[in-house]
Amino acid sequence: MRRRAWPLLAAPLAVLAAFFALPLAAVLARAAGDASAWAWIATSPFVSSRLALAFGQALASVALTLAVAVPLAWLHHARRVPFSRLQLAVHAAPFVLPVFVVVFGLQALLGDHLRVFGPLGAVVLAHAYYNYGFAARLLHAALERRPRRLEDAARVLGAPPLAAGLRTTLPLLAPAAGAVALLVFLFSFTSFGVVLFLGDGRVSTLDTLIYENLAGSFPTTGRAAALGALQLGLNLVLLLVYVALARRAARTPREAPRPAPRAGFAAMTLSIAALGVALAPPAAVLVGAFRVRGAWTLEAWRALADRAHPSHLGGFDLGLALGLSIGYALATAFLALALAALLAYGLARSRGATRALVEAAATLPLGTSSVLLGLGYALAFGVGGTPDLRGTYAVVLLAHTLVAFPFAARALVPALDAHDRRLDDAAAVLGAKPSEVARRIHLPLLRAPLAVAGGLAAAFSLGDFGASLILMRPDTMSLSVWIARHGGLGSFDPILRAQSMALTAVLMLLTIAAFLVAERFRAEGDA
Amino acid sequence: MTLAVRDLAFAHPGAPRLLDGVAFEVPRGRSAFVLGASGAGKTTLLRCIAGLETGYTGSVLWDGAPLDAVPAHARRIGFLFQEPALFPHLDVERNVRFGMRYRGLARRDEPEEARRLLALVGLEDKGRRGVDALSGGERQRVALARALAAAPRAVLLDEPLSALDRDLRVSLGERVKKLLAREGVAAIWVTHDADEAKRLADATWRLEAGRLA
Repeated sequence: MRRRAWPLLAAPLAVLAAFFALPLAAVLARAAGDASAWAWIATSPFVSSRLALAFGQALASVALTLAVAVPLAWLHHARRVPFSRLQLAVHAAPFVLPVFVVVFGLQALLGDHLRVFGPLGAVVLAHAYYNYGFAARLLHAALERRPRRLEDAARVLGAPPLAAGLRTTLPLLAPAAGAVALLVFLFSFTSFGVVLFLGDGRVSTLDTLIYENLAGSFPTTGRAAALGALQLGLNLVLLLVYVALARRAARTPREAPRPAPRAGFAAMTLSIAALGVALAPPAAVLVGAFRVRGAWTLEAWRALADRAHPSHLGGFDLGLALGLSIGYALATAFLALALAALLAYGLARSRGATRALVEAAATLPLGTSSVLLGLGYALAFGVGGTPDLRGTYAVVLLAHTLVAFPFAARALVPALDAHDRRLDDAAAVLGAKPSEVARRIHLPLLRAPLAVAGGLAAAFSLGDFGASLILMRPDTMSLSVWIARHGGLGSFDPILRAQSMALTAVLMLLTIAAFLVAERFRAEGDA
Repeated sequence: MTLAVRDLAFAHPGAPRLLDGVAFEVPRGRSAFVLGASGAGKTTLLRCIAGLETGYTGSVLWDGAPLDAVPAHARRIGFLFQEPALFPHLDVERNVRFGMRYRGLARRDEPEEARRLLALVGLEDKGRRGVDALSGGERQRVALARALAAAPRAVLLDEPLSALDRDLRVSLGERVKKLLAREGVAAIWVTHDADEAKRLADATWRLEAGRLA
């Protein structure tokens, strides 16, 4: 039974047009109208050297990330490690934790030793910590599906085990590995928070350059827009290559995983040590929230809660900032899920060129950073914009939703595509209306991707401070923007640093709570 | 009380006609068989009758009243699919209870009715089982109990026994036919197994080139 797709696709496409295409068009229009900004980009040795450094930084980040991720993925593939799925999820957690956890965690762990690496080394190290877990998870998934029958065929044709793997599995898994490497490159090349806080002003990305041109005493919006246009072009090229690699990876023959031998002492020790490394930075943040000048204390928490405390951040209201963070996160999760669900249902009813076009349009926000989106919103919905959304909660919520939406869509669309339509037919002939089919069949069976999508959307909102830094006013500021604007990063005041640690710990616990709620929702569906 | 099909034709978009001028009648309590090779359009014919395909021309009627504008969920025509399509997130009893609320049965009466239907198909002790723990034959019997639980006026059977071994296919086929006759349900079976049709059919037609012969 095929029904019309457009009534379902109308809402997500309208939101994409109004709150993604329009702001980006505003950036492009502003960039096109400022020839001097392009001349600055083309001729400034500062810009060219920073961009070259950003490119090198991203390559180094990929190399270090894969150097950790590949052995980790192989360990969990080649040996039956207890709680392997949970362990890999813990490794991937930094990717969704607020960037401050990585920054403060590494600073607290390594202290002055972090300086040894220099700003570039610190950024590369942070990017590797941020990305290795999710890269390992994706590589592990690819390894688990590797076509071993082909390796068997190579073996009986006379190839030794290693050669059989190198000549069959490796070329077949290359597109998947390439896609993972490209994603890490994209995230490192467009990194904002890590570079802003650990780059020490000596390492840049296009995102930090855009922000610096907006945030200075004399904002140069034209230059920011031209950098934004450049970033958009580069990201789109990278995204197209990623999509091509992902498509090739999807065509790779797959096989059900075969049981691996139980992990021995060495493998167990390695996996436990790796977990220790993964958990050390978040643990350091938690400890740092309760330590000032080498002593255990609640001083930072008192300073946060008590407005009369001498180290209290001016104008900070813990309840308001916390409430706003949670409110933005819940609303973002709801909106992103609703839009992604409409898109998934609409795409399930579409075919051919229509489906490909709509899918491509929905993927585009993946290639757009939060900072660029913030710039677009400032231009389209700022002074003289229609509508003028300056200082509103709505503009922040829309920006968060657009950042989270493509991730939510990528969780839901394949899940609904893979859903067995015969179950819907069976429910329909038993008397269930389409809305009942959605409630009684889809909702319980698609709980896992729904939970992942909701958890991701909430986590992105909680941790975002790219668009938020540009769009939030003092009375609409979430915890992440308070940390970024007024936190003690680089401060010599130990109480101010501890306050930042405490706020980061709160953000981290909120993010973990979002995933635990999502996990509970998923588990109930499995019951 | 008769399920009737009049001059039914159907084509997938951009494809030649799969069904053309199909017409027949099946009274309550009777089992009619449609034979045909793979790809002859047997499944599509059943999907049109159930309302799962909506682009057909012609008419599907129950007791003379056209059902063409009635959506699948309101036609009260059950369907046994080739794969049983049991809901994997529900246990056996809750699968059987799925459609009861749409026929107006009170929630408190659902468990008892489910037990009655499971007893009818010989699975009274399997209500709390997960559907993944059932054998192929048990899965089809649960699907039959689930179809009957929605109190259908007709049931369409799309080669529901084809995945089973021969002995089970023969015994279960006879049991299902008797059950449908006892419940007074009009049944249309499609199959490519002429022996099965000979054994169980009250009437048999052959679907060739989209037409019934």
